[in-house]
Amino acid sequence: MKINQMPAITWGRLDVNEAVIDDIEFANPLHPAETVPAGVDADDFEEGRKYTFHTSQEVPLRLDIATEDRSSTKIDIVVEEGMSAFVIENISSAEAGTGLIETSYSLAANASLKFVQIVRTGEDAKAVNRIKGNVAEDADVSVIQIFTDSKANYTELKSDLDGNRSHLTADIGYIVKTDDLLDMNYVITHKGKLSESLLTIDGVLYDGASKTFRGTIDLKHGCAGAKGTENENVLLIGDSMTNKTVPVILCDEEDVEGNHGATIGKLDEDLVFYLESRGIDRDSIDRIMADARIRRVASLIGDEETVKTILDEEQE
Amino acid sequence: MKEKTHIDDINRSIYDFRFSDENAYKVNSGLTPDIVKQISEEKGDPEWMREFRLKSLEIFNRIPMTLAGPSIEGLNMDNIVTYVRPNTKMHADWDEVPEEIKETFERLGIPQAERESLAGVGAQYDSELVYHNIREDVAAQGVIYTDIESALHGPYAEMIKEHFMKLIPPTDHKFAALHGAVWSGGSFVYVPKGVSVEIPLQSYFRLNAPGAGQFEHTLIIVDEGAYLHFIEGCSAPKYNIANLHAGAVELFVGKNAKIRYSTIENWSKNMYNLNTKRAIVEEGGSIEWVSGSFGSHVSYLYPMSILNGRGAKSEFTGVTFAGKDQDLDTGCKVVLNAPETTSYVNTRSISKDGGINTFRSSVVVTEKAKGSKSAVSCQSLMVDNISRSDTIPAMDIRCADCDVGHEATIGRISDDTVFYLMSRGLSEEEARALIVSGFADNVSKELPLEYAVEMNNLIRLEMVGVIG
Repeated sequence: MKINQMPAITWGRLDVNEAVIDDIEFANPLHPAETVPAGVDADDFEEGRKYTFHTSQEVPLRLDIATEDRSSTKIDIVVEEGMSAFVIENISSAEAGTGLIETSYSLAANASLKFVQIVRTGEDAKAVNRIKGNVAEDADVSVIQIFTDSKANYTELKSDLDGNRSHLTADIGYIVKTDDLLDMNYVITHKGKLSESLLTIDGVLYDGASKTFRGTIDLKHGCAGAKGTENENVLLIGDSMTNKTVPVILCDEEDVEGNHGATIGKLDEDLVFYLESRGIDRDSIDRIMADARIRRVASLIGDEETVKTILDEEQE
Repeated sequence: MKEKTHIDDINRSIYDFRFSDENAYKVNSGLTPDIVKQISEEKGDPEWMREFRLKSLEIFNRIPMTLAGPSIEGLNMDNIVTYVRPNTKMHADWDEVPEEIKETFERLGIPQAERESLAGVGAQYDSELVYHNIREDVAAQGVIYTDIESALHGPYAEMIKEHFMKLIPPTDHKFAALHGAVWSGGSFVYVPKGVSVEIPLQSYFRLNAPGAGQFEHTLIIVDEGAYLHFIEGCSAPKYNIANLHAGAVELFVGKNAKIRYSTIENWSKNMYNLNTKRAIVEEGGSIEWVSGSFGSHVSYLYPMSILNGRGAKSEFTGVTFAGKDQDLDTGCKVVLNAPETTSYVNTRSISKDGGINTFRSSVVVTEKAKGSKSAVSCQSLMVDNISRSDTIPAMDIRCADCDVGHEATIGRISDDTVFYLMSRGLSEEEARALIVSGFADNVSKELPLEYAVEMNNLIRLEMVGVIG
């Protein structure tokens, strides 16, 4: 089946318009293990869990999802008007196979959400990870994602900036190791006037890794004064790998600003020379520089427990 | 937010004139094996070319339409006349060209340009070359500049056979197959080893007949250490029915050789421009594309550079201007397929009066391309609130030892800049035209002066009627 489809396609030979995976029926509902702060309602809905923030929360709602083969986890986050929310999703795997995680968020006017997602499903498991969101007037969502260890991770974020002055930032860090695959599709749709988005993606690819990043900023007619920016920086370590980057801007409005940039390449030779002259061997240099990219994103999380877990695992 | 006023486009009378095609020889509209055989017979093809055409037709009928871009629903191949031969032969003296055709090219300024600044000219009217000439001193250096049909029967026949549609095989896409089946006209250029053609050659393609297609083929081989600047121009009068242009350009750049290929495309706004251009560059060679796209109703145009030898280079400098009733999908493709290759892409696009611009590109860095570098810079300008501009670049990197950069911006004309220019005495319309001309400066400064002037005139003409 086709997933991670771009809203505007390009030449089929590049093999980037979508990802194709085996037809899978995700028929095994799986609820997350949850730590719900007071003031947050947690309810079942359909085959998933819905969390409603009636009050502002600095303490994170923690959701731990250990995927199973054909498991399906559905999470719905609602942040009511003027409230702020903090959610940490920690995705791992309990067994080999492919698990589906679908998260939706909805922010009412003046609401804010910090949504953190860590995906590490290990060497034997694949994840299909879909996030969908709506952001109302003057609301602000910050998405922080770290992908470090998955055999295959298909991630999608589709967020509509519906309201005037709605705002989204996405900070994504990834490390894709040998023979692993990361396939990303980000679609930020600007509908509200003066809406803003900023996507910053920092990643590392090792020998034999495969990664596709599709990033679309869609500036719809009527979103006057909107601004959308996306930047991807990819560090290539090793000899050969597959890196595909497709940063797209669709613009149907005059009074807007859209920017995208990408830099892809190996470590600067002068930097390597300097570090080697300080007695650091090449493998250590590669590891330090890869860690630095994850640390930048991890530093934005604002939860010591989560950051420590990520960094400890990277040290191993 | 400022209110907009709207004034219709001006009459593009410089290009929008036409003559009757009643004396021309035409095949029936549509595409059948009999029509392809008829074209082949009319052109006196060698047997291999006849078979090539029929094979291409078979491919055309077999492969699906896989275009990623604007709709071409308004193009019905059953209505397109694929071959229109004007009632004249090819000449090497303008005085021998029939009066109406001569007048066409006089109005377009071709003979004057030839006298003043070109080393040779080819002029195609509908499906056939009507004029071809090269300066004696350039020919004396061994430079060949002729129509492909003549070359197919001359001493370069084997060279043509060896290179024809090898870079753009009919299997590449549906309109490449169509081109292989019904191609007609175009130019063959061969620049021998070490020869530098200091003054440009130019081919100009004029499509006069309504409902016709033009399928010229340009094949250029520049041998080791040689240099050529080739200029291509095209235009057509506007009709109420669809015209089709599906030409092909194949450039072979030898070791340490260089080609600069400049195009000012100004087809009429009923034209479907589905053109394919490709260059392969050997060790130390260089290809420079300079491209101005102003015309056509729908355009698919992405010149491709295949950097196949160590140290090969490509540069693409382009501007696309999409106005009313235009949906222009333009950009470029680069394949870095050898060590230490470099590519640089610098484009501007301008959308106004409901025009749609799409910048589309691909940069592919293969495992062989160690030490290679690529940079893409793409800027788009929205002139009003009813137009559209998309950028769809793609990078596919398979080699760690490379340096790839990409940047793109979409924005509008700054009110502050307009205000400043108006405070210096310019009208708002003049101020906006000046800003847009400056925005497209990347291309105009790469063109010979007279073509840069033409391009700036086109921008000025297009900007008339836009008042913010």
